Amino acid sequence: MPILYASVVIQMGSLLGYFYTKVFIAIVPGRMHSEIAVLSVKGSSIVQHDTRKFEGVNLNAAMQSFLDEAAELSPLFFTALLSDAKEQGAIPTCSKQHAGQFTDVLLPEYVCVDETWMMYLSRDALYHLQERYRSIGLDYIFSPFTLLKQLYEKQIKEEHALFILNEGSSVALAVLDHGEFQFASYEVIEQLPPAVSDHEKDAMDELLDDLDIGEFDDTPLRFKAIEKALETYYHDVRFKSSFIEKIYFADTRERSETIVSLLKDELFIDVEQKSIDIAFEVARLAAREAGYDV
Amino acid sequence: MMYSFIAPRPKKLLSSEVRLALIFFTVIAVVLSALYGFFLYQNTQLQVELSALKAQYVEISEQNEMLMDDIEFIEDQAGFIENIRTENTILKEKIKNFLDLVPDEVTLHKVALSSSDLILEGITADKLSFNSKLQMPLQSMFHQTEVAYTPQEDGSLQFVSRSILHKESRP
Repeated sequence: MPILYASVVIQMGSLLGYFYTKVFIAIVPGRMHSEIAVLSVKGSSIVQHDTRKFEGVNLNAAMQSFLDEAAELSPLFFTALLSDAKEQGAIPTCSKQHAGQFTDVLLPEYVCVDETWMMYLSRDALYHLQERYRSIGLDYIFSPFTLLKQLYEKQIKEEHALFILNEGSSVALAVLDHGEFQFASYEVIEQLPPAVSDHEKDAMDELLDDLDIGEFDDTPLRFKAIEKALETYYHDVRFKSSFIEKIYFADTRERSETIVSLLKDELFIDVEQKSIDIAFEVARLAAREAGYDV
Repeated sequence: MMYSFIAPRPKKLLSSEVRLALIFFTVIAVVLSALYGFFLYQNTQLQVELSALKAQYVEISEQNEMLMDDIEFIEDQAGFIENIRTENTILKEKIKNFLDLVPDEVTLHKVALSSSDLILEGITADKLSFNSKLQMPLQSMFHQTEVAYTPQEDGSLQFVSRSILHKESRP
Protein backbone atom coordinates (compact mmCIF):
# COMPACT_ATOMS: atom_id res chain seq x y z
CA MET A 1 0.00 0.00 0.00
CA PRO A 2 2.74 2.57 0.81
CA ILE A 3 4.47 1.77 -2.49
CA LEU A 4 1.22 2.24 -4.37
CA TYR A 5 0.59 5.51 -2.57
CA ALA A 6 4.13 6.77 -3.18
CA SER A 7 3.85 5.83 -6.82
CA VAL A 8 0.52 7.64 -7.15
CA VAL A 9 1.88 10.73 -5.40
CA ILE A 10 5.04 10.79 -7.57
CA GLN A 11 3.01 10.36 -10.74
CA MET A 12 0.59 13.07 -9.71
CA GLY A 13 3.49 15.30 -8.65
CA SER A 14 5.16 14.92 -12.04
CA LEU A 15 1.89 15.55 -13.82
CA LEU A 16 1.02 18.59 -11.73
CA GLY A 17 4.60 19.86 -11.96
CA TYR A 18 4.25 19.99 -15.73
CA PHE A 19 1.40 22.48 -15.46
CA TYR A 20 2.96 24.68 -12.80
CA THR A 21 5.11 27.68 -13.56
CA LYS A 22 8.56 27.30 -12.03
CA VAL A 23 9.94 30.27 -10.16
CA PHE A 24 13.66 30.74 -9.72
CA ILE A 25 14.72 33.26 -7.12
CA ALA A 26 18.34 34.36 -7.18
CA ILE A 27 20.00 36.17 -4.32
CA VAL A 28 23.29 37.93 -4.89
CA PRO A 29 24.62 39.49 -1.72
CA GLY A 30 26.85 42.50 -2.18
CA ARG A 31 28.92 44.55 0.21
CA MET A 32 26.27 47.18 0.96
CA HIS A 33 23.24 45.82 -0.80
CA SER A 34 21.76 42.63 -2.22
CA GLU A 35 20.18 41.97 -5.56
CA ILE A 36 17.29 39.60 -5.87
CA ALA A 37 15.92 38.37 -9.19
CA VAL A 38 12.74 36.44 -9.74
CA LEU A 39 12.47 34.42 -12.91
CA SER A 40 9.24 32.67 -13.89
CA VAL A 41 9.78 29.85 -16.34
CA LYS A 42 7.25 27.86 -18.29
CA GLY A 43 8.65 25.13 -20.48
CA SER A 44 11.83 26.62 -21.91
CA SER A 45 10.73 30.22 -21.97
CA ILE A 46 10.95 33.00 -19.42
CA VAL A 47 7.47 34.38 -18.79
CA GLN A 48 8.40 36.96 -16.19
CA HIS A 49 11.55 38.56 -14.84
CA ASP A 50 12.05 41.06 -12.08
CA THR A 51 15.30 42.20 -10.42
CA ARG A 52 15.38 44.41 -7.37
CA LYS A 53 18.11 45.87 -5.24
CA PHE A 54 17.82 45.94 -1.45
CA GLU A 55 19.91 47.62 1.19
CA GLY A 56 21.92 45.26 3.37
CA VAL A 57 23.37 41.81 3.00
CA ASN A 58 21.39 39.85 5.55
CA LEU A 59 17.71 39.16 5.07
CA ASN A 60 15.58 42.08 6.18
CA ALA A 61 11.84 42.73 6.18
CA ALA A 62 11.81 44.22 2.67
CA MET A 63 13.76 41.30 1.21
CA GLN A 64 11.66 38.77 3.11
CA SER A 65 8.47 40.37 1.85
CA PHE A 66 9.71 40.32 -1.76
CA LEU A 67 10.87 36.70 -1.42
CA ASP A 68 7.56 35.66 0.15
CA GLU A 69 5.67 37.27 -2.72
CA ALA A 70 7.88 35.44 -5.21
CA ALA A 71 7.46 32.15 -3.38
CA GLU A 72 3.69 32.52 -3.58
CA LEU A 73 3.83 32.58 -7.38
CA SER A 74 4.25 28.83 -7.53
CA PRO A 75 4.76 25.90 -5.18
CA LEU A 76 7.67 25.00 -7.46
CA PHE A 77 10.00 27.80 -6.46
CA PHE A 78 13.74 27.38 -6.18
CA THR A 79 16.04 29.73 -4.35
CA ALA A 80 19.60 30.14 -5.55
CA LEU A 81 22.45 32.02 -3.95
CA LEU A 82 25.70 33.25 -5.43
CA SER A 83 28.28 32.48 -2.82
CA ASP A 84 30.09 35.49 -1.42
CA ALA A 85 32.18 33.48 1.04
CA LYS A 86 35.87 34.25 1.26
CA GLU A 87 36.79 30.60 1.53
CA GLN A 88 36.06 29.59 -2.02
CA GLY A 89 37.83 29.31 -5.33
CA ALA A 90 38.72 27.04 -8.19
CA ILE A 91 41.80 24.85 -8.66
CA PRO A 92 43.18 22.81 -11.56
CA THR A 93 42.50 19.37 -10.11
CA CYS A 94 39.52 17.21 -9.34
CA SER A 95 41.35 15.16 -6.79
CA LYS A 96 40.66 15.88 -3.13
CA GLN A 97 44.09 14.51 -2.31
CA HIS A 98 45.83 17.00 -4.58
CA ALA A 99 43.58 19.92 -3.57
CA GLY A 100 45.87 20.66 -0.63
CA GLN A 101 48.59 21.75 -3.08
CA PHE A 102 46.45 24.66 -4.26
CA THR A 103 44.29 25.73 -1.31
CA ASP A 104 44.44 25.96 2.46
CA VAL A 105 40.71 25.53 2.84
CA LEU A 106 39.93 22.54 5.03
CA LEU A 107 36.96 20.26 4.47
CA PRO A 108 35.83 21.85 1.22
CA GLU A 109 32.62 21.06 -0.59
CA TYR A 110 33.48 20.86 -4.22
CA VAL A 111 32.04 20.56 -7.71
CA CYS A 112 34.21 18.81 -10.23
CA VAL A 113 34.12 20.20 -13.78
CA ASP A 114 35.14 18.17 -16.82
CA GLU A 115 37.07 15.93 -14.41
CA THR A 116 39.99 18.37 -14.67
CA TRP A 117 39.22 21.23 -12.31
CA MET A 118 37.06 21.93 -9.32
CA MET A 119 35.18 24.78 -7.72
CA TYR A 120 35.29 24.57 -3.96
CA LEU A 121 33.68 26.19 -0.97
CA SER A 122 34.56 25.58 2.64
CA ARG A 123 32.05 23.52 4.55
CA ASP A 124 31.85 26.12 7.32
CA ALA A 125 31.11 28.86 4.79
CA LEU A 126 28.43 26.70 3.21
CA TYR A 127 26.86 26.17 6.61
CA HIS A 128 26.96 29.90 7.37
CA LEU A 129 25.37 30.75 4.01
CA GLN A 130 22.56 28.28 4.64
CA GLU A 131 22.07 29.68 8.13
CA ARG A 132 21.96 33.26 6.79
CA TYR A 133 19.03 32.40 4.51
CA ARG A 134 17.41 29.75 6.67
CA SER A 135 14.06 31.59 6.82
CA ILE A 136 13.62 31.33 3.04
CA GLY A 137 15.71 28.20 2.51
CA LEU A 138 18.20 27.60 -0.27
CA ASP A 139 18.02 25.12 -3.13
CA TYR A 140 21.20 26.05 -4.97
CA ILE A 141 24.47 27.67 -3.98
CA PHE A 142 26.68 28.57 -6.89
CA SER A 143 30.29 29.56 -7.15
CA PRO A 144 31.06 32.79 -9.10
CA PHE A 145 33.17 30.60 -11.40
CA THR A 146 30.04 28.70 -12.43
CA LEU A 147 28.59 32.02 -13.47
CA LEU A 148 31.73 32.87 -15.46
CA LYS A 149 31.46 29.51 -17.18
CA GLN A 150 27.86 30.25 -18.15
CA LEU A 151 28.57 33.82 -19.28
CA TYR A 152 31.53 32.93 -21.50
CA GLU A 153 30.76 29.38 -22.50
CA LYS A 154 31.74 29.84 -26.14
CA GLN A 155 34.87 31.97 -25.50
CA ILE A 156 36.11 29.53 -22.86
CA LYS A 157 36.02 26.71 -25.40
CA GLU A 158 37.64 28.69 -28.23
CA GLU A 159 40.15 31.09 -26.70
CA HIS A 160 42.92 31.57 -24.23
CA ALA A 161 41.79 34.46 -22.06
CA LEU A 162 41.31 35.89 -18.64
CA PHE A 163 37.65 35.87 -17.57
CA ILE A 164 36.69 38.31 -14.85
CA LEU A 165 33.48 38.69 -12.90
CA ASN A 166 33.57 42.12 -11.35
CA GLU A 167 30.90 41.81 -8.73
CA GLY A 168 29.69 44.11 -5.94
CA SER A 169 31.78 42.67 -3.16
CA SER A 170 34.34 40.61 -4.99
CA VAL A 171 36.39 39.94 -8.07
CA ALA A 172 36.43 36.41 -9.46
CA LEU A 173 38.80 35.65 -12.26
CA ALA A 174 39.80 32.55 -14.13
CA VAL A 175 42.23 31.77 -16.91
CA LEU A 176 41.24 29.09 -19.37
CA ASP A 177 42.98 28.05 -22.53
CA HIS A 178 40.63 26.52 -25.09
CA GLY A 179 38.57 24.88 -22.37
CA GLU A 180 41.58 23.88 -20.28
CA PHE A 181 41.46 25.37 -16.83
CA GLN A 182 44.74 26.98 -15.72
CA PHE A 183 44.17 29.35 -12.87
CA ALA A 184 41.50 31.06 -10.77
CA SER A 185 41.36 33.58 -8.01
CA TYR A 186 38.58 34.93 -5.84
CA GLU A 187 39.11 38.13 -3.90
CA VAL A 188 36.61 39.74 -1.60
CA ILE A 189 36.97 43.52 -1.87
CA GLU A 190 36.71 45.09 1.54
CA GLN A 191 35.45 48.65 1.93
CA LEU A 192 38.61 49.56 3.72
CA PRO A 193 41.80 48.04 2.44
CA PRO A 194 43.52 45.61 4.76
CA ALA A 195 46.83 46.53 6.27
CA VAL A 196 49.20 47.36 3.46
CA SER A 197 52.82 48.15 3.39
CA ASP A 198 53.98 51.73 3.04
CA HIS A 199 55.20 51.01 -0.46
CA GLU A 200 51.80 49.66 -1.54
CA LYS A 201 49.99 52.55 0.18
CA ASP A 202 52.11 55.07 -1.69
CA ALA A 203 51.51 53.31 -5.01
CA MET A 204 47.75 53.24 -4.37
CA ASP A 205 47.63 56.93 -3.49
CA GLU A 206 49.57 57.71 -6.63
CA LEU A 207 47.12 55.66 -8.65
CA LEU A 208 44.14 57.42 -7.08
CA ASP A 209 45.69 60.79 -7.84
CA ASP A 210 46.42 59.83 -11.44
CA LEU A 211 42.89 58.61 -12.05
CA ASP A 212 41.28 61.42 -10.12
CA ILE A 213 38.86 59.17 -8.30
CA GLY A 214 37.37 59.48 -4.85
CA GLU A 215 38.78 57.79 -1.81
CA PHE A 216 35.66 55.64 -1.39
CA ASP A 217 35.94 54.11 -4.80
CA ASP A 218 37.38 50.59 -4.56
CA THR A 219 38.63 50.51 -8.16
CA PRO A 220 42.32 50.50 -7.16
CA LEU A 221 41.67 47.58 -4.81
CA ARG A 222 39.99 45.67 -7.57
CA PHE A 223 42.77 46.46 -9.98
CA LYS A 224 45.35 45.45 -7.42
CA ALA A 225 43.55 42.18 -6.84
CA ILE A 226 43.59 41.43 -10.54
CA GLU A 227 47.20 42.46 -10.85
CA LYS A 228 48.17 40.28 -7.90
CA ALA A 229 46.27 37.31 -9.30
CA LEU A 230 48.00 37.69 -12.65
CA GLU A 231 51.35 37.85 -10.92
CA THR A 232 50.58 34.58 -9.17
CA TYR A 233 49.42 33.08 -12.44
CA TYR A 234 52.58 34.03 -14.31
CA HIS A 235 55.09 33.20 -11.58
CA ASP A 236 53.68 30.40 -9.47
CA VAL A 237 55.12 27.13 -10.74
CA ARG A 238 52.03 25.19 -9.64
CA PHE A 239 50.06 26.75 -12.46
CA LYS A 240 50.52 26.24 -16.13
CA SER A 241 50.68 29.69 -17.70
CA SER A 242 51.11 31.54 -20.95
CA PHE A 243 50.75 35.17 -21.95
CA ILE A 244 47.19 36.46 -21.82
CA GLU A 245 46.15 38.67 -24.70
CA LYS A 246 42.46 39.00 -24.02
CA ILE A 247 40.32 39.78 -21.02
CA TYR A 248 36.59 39.19 -20.88
CA PHE A 249 35.20 41.46 -18.25
CA ALA A 250 31.70 40.80 -16.93
CA ASP A 251 30.64 43.78 -14.95
CA THR A 252 27.83 44.20 -12.49
CA ARG A 253 28.81 47.64 -11.31
CA GLU A 254 27.72 50.97 -12.70
CA ARG A 255 31.07 52.74 -12.88
CA SER A 256 33.64 50.37 -14.29
CA GLU A 257 35.13 52.37 -17.11
CA THR A 258 38.07 53.26 -14.87
CA ILE A 259 39.09 49.71 -14.14
CA VAL A 260 38.71 48.73 -17.80
CA SER A 261 40.95 51.65 -18.72
CA LEU A 262 43.45 50.58 -16.09
CA LEU A 263 43.53 47.04 -17.42
CA LYS A 264 44.08 48.29 -20.94
CA ASP A 265 46.68 50.91 -20.05
CA GLU A 266 48.59 49.19 -17.29
CA LEU A 267 48.50 45.61 -18.46
CA PHE A 268 48.38 46.26 -22.20
CA ILE A 269 45.70 43.67 -22.70
CA ASP A 270 42.65 43.88 -24.93
CA VAL A 271 39.53 44.01 -22.78
CA GLU A 272 36.01 43.12 -23.87
CA GLN A 273 33.54 44.36 -21.34
CA LYS A 274 29.89 43.54 -20.90
CA SER A 275 27.43 44.62 -18.27
CA ILE A 276 25.31 41.92 -16.77
CA ASP A 277 22.29 41.67 -14.54
CA ILE A 278 24.02 39.29 -12.19
CA ALA A 279 20.93 38.28 -10.22
CA PHE A 280 19.12 37.47 -13.45
CA GLU A 281 22.10 35.42 -14.64
CA VAL A 282 22.17 33.47 -11.36
CA ALA A 283 18.43 32.81 -11.65
CA ARG A 284 19.00 31.62 -15.21
CA LEU A 285 21.81 29.41 -13.96
CA ALA A 286 19.43 27.92 -11.39
CA ALA A 287 16.84 27.27 -14.08
CA ARG A 288 19.45 25.53 -16.24
CA GLU A 289 20.58 23.52 -13.21
CA ALA A 290 16.97 22.42 -12.76
CA GLY A 291 16.91 21.27 -16.38
CA TYR A 292 15.22 24.18 -18.13
CA ASP A 293 17.06 25.46 -21.18
CA VAL A 294 16.43 29.17 -20.76
CA MET B 1 25.84 18.90 -15.13
CA MET B 2 25.31 19.83 -11.49
CA TYR B 3 27.16 22.99 -10.49
CA SER B 4 25.47 23.69 -7.17
CA PHE B 5 27.15 22.91 -3.87
CA ILE B 6 23.83 21.72 -2.46
CA ALA B 7 20.93 19.70 -3.80
CA PRO B 8 17.51 21.34 -4.12
CA ARG B 9 14.95 20.62 -1.46
CA PRO B 10 12.12 18.30 -2.44
CA LYS B 11 9.07 20.29 -3.47
CA LYS B 12 5.64 19.51 -2.12
CA LEU B 13 2.97 20.24 -4.68
CA LEU B 14 0.24 18.79 -2.54
CA SER B 15 -0.74 20.11 0.87
CA SER B 16 -1.24 17.81 3.86
CA GLU B 17 -5.03 18.08 3.51
CA VAL B 18 -4.88 17.15 -0.17
CA ARG B 19 -2.52 14.28 0.64
CA LEU B 20 -4.92 13.04 3.34
CA ALA B 21 -7.84 13.27 0.92
CA LEU B 22 -5.77 11.45 -1.71
CA ILE B 23 -4.91 8.67 0.75
CA PHE B 24 -8.58 8.40 1.70
CA PHE B 25 -9.80 8.22 -1.88
CA THR B 26 -6.97 5.88 -2.83
CA VAL B 27 -7.90 3.51 -0.01
CA ILE B 28 -11.57 3.69 -0.98
CA ALA B 29 -10.70 3.10 -4.63
CA VAL B 30 -8.49 0.15 -3.74
CA VAL B 31 -11.17 -1.39 -1.50
CA LEU B 32 -13.85 -0.90 -4.14
CA SER B 33 -11.59 -2.32 -6.83
CA ALA B 34 -10.82 -5.31 -4.61
CA LEU B 35 -14.53 -5.87 -3.97
CA TYR B 36 -15.32 -5.50 -7.66
CA GLY B 37 -12.59 -8.00 -8.48
CA PHE B 38 -13.87 -10.38 -5.80
CA PHE B 39 -17.44 -10.22 -7.09
CA LEU B 40 -16.24 -10.53 -10.66
CA TYR B 41 -14.32 -13.66 -9.68
CA GLN B 42 -17.30 -15.04 -7.79
CA ASN B 43 -19.58 -14.32 -10.74
CA THR B 44 -17.21 -16.15 -13.07
CA GLN B 45 -17.12 -19.10 -10.68
CA LEU B 46 -20.92 -19.14 -10.48
CA GLN B 47 -21.20 -19.00 -14.26
CA VAL B 48 -18.91 -22.02 -14.48
CA GLU B 49 -20.95 -23.83 -11.83
CA LEU B 50 -24.19 -22.90 -13.63
CA SER B 51 -22.86 -24.33 -16.90
CA ALA B 52 -21.84 -27.53 -15.10
CA LEU B 53 -25.26 -27.79 -13.44
CA LYS B 54 -27.00 -27.25 -16.78
CA ALA B 55 -24.96 -30.04 -18.32
CA GLN B 56 -25.74 -32.20 -15.29
CA TYR B 57 -29.44 -31.38 -15.64
CA VAL B 58 -29.42 -32.44 -19.29
CA GLU B 59 -27.63 -35.68 -18.37
CA ILE B 60 -30.05 -36.40 -15.52
CA SER B 61 -33.03 -35.63 -17.78
CA GLU B 62 -31.75 -38.16 -20.29
CA GLN B 63 -31.21 -40.71 -17.54
CA ASN B 64 -34.70 -39.98 -16.21
CA GLU B 65 -36.19 -40.54 -19.64
CA MET B 66 -34.37 -43.86 -19.90
CA LEU B 67 -35.56 -44.83 -16.42
CA MET B 68 -39.14 -43.92 -17.34
CA ASP B 69 -38.83 -46.18 -20.38
CA ASP B 70 -37.47 -48.94 -18.15
CA ILE B 71 -40.31 -48.45 -15.64
CA GLU B 72 -42.86 -48.62 -18.45
CA PHE B 73 -41.23 -51.77 -19.74
CA ILE B 74 -41.13 -53.31 -16.24
CA GLU B 75 -44.77 -52.37 -15.66
CA ASP B 76 -45.68 -54.09 -18.95
CA GLN B 77 -43.66 -57.10 -17.89
CA ALA B 78 -45.36 -57.07 -14.49
CA GLY B 79 -48.79 -57.07 -16.17
CA PHE B 80 -47.72 -59.87 -18.40
CA ILE B 81 -46.39 -61.87 -15.44
CA GLU B 82 -49.60 -61.21 -13.57
CA ASN B 83 -51.59 -62.55 -16.51
CA ILE B 84 -49.42 -65.65 -16.67
CA ARG B 85 -49.74 -66.14 -12.95
CA THR B 86 -53.51 -65.78 -13.16
CA GLU B 87 -53.65 -68.17 -16.06
CA ASN B 88 -51.42 -70.58 -14.18
CA THR B 89 -53.65 -70.34 -11.15
CA ILE B 90 -56.69 -71.00 -13.26
CA LEU B 91 -54.96 -73.89 -14.98
CA LYS B 92 -53.86 -75.27 -11.65
CA GLU B 93 -57.39 -74.97 -10.40
CA LYS B 94 -58.68 -76.70 -13.53
CA ILE B 95 -56.19 -79.53 -13.12
CA LYS B 96 -57.17 -79.86 -9.49
CA ASN B 97 -60.84 -79.88 -10.40
CA PHE B 98 -60.17 -82.42 -13.15
CA LEU B 99 -58.20 -84.65 -10.83
CA ASP B 100 -61.10 -84.42 -8.35
CA LEU B 101 -63.32 -85.76 -11.08
CA VAL B 102 -61.26 -88.94 -11.45
CA PRO B 103 -63.34 -91.74 -9.85
CA ASP B 104 -61.94 -94.45 -7.60
CA GLU B 105 -62.49 -97.07 -10.33
CA VAL B 106 -60.03 -95.34 -12.60
CA THR B 107 -56.31 -95.32 -11.99
CA LEU B 108 -54.27 -92.80 -13.99
CA HIS B 109 -50.72 -93.66 -14.99
CA LYS B 110 -50.00 -90.69 -17.15
CA VAL B 111 -51.51 -87.24 -17.65
CA ALA B 112 -50.13 -85.06 -20.43
CA LEU B 113 -51.67 -81.66 -20.85
CA SER B 114 -50.70 -79.31 -23.63
CA SER B 115 -52.27 -76.17 -24.96
CA SER B 116 -54.39 -78.07 -27.43
CA ASP B 117 -54.93 -81.50 -25.99
CA LEU B 118 -55.04 -83.74 -22.95
CA ILE B 119 -53.74 -87.29 -22.98
CA LEU B 120 -54.71 -89.64 -20.21
CA GLU B 121 -53.39 -93.18 -19.76
CA GLY B 122 -54.45 -95.55 -17.04
CA ILE B 123 -56.58 -98.55 -16.01
CA THR B 124 -60.32 -98.68 -15.42
CA ALA B 125 -62.41 -101.47 -13.99
CA ASP B 126 -64.97 -101.16 -16.75
CA LYS B 127 -65.99 -98.92 -19.64
CA LEU B 128 -69.17 -97.77 -17.96
CA SER B 129 -67.47 -96.33 -15.01
CA PHE B 130 -64.99 -94.57 -17.29
CA ASN B 131 -67.61 -93.24 -19.66
CA SER B 132 -69.99 -92.09 -16.98
CA LYS B 133 -67.63 -90.62 -14.48
CA LEU B 134 -64.72 -89.34 -16.58
CA GLN B 135 -65.66 -89.31 -20.27
CA MET B 136 -68.66 -87.07 -19.70
CA PRO B 137 -66.78 -84.21 -18.03
CA LEU B 138 -64.00 -84.44 -20.60
CA GLN B 139 -66.50 -84.05 -23.42
CA SER B 140 -67.92 -80.97 -21.78
CA MET B 141 -64.49 -79.42 -21.48
CA PHE B 142 -62.94 -80.39 -24.85
CA HIS B 143 -64.28 -80.26 -28.34
CA GLN B 144 -63.38 -83.81 -29.20
CA THR B 145 -62.50 -86.84 -27.07
CA GLU B 146 -61.25 -90.21 -28.30
CA VAL B 147 -60.68 -93.25 -26.08
CA ALA B 148 -58.94 -96.51 -26.92
CA TYR B 149 -59.30 -99.54 -24.60
CA THR B 150 -57.03 -102.47 -24.24
CA PRO B 151 -58.22 -105.49 -22.15
CA GLN B 152 -55.92 -106.73 -19.40
CA GLU B 153 -55.45 -110.28 -18.08
CA ASP B 154 -57.12 -109.48 -14.80
CA GLY B 155 -60.27 -108.28 -16.60
CA SER B 156 -59.59 -104.57 -16.27
CA LEU B 157 -59.16 -102.27 -19.21
CA GLN B 158 -56.13 -100.13 -20.07
CA PHE B 159 -57.22 -96.93 -21.69
CA VAL B 160 -55.64 -94.11 -23.65
CA SER B 161 -57.81 -91.00 -23.88
CA ARG B 162 -57.00 -88.05 -26.07
CA SER B 163 -59.07 -84.91 -25.76
CA ILE B 164 -58.54 -82.14 -28.29
CA LEU B 165 -59.29 -78.48 -27.89
CA HIS B 166 -59.72 -76.63 -31.19
CA LYS B 167 -58.10 -73.30 -31.39
CA GLU B 168 -60.60 -70.48 -31.78
CA SER B 169 -59.95 -68.17 -34.65
CA ARG B 170 -60.31 -64.48 -33.87
CA PRO B 171 -62.82 -62.55 -35.87
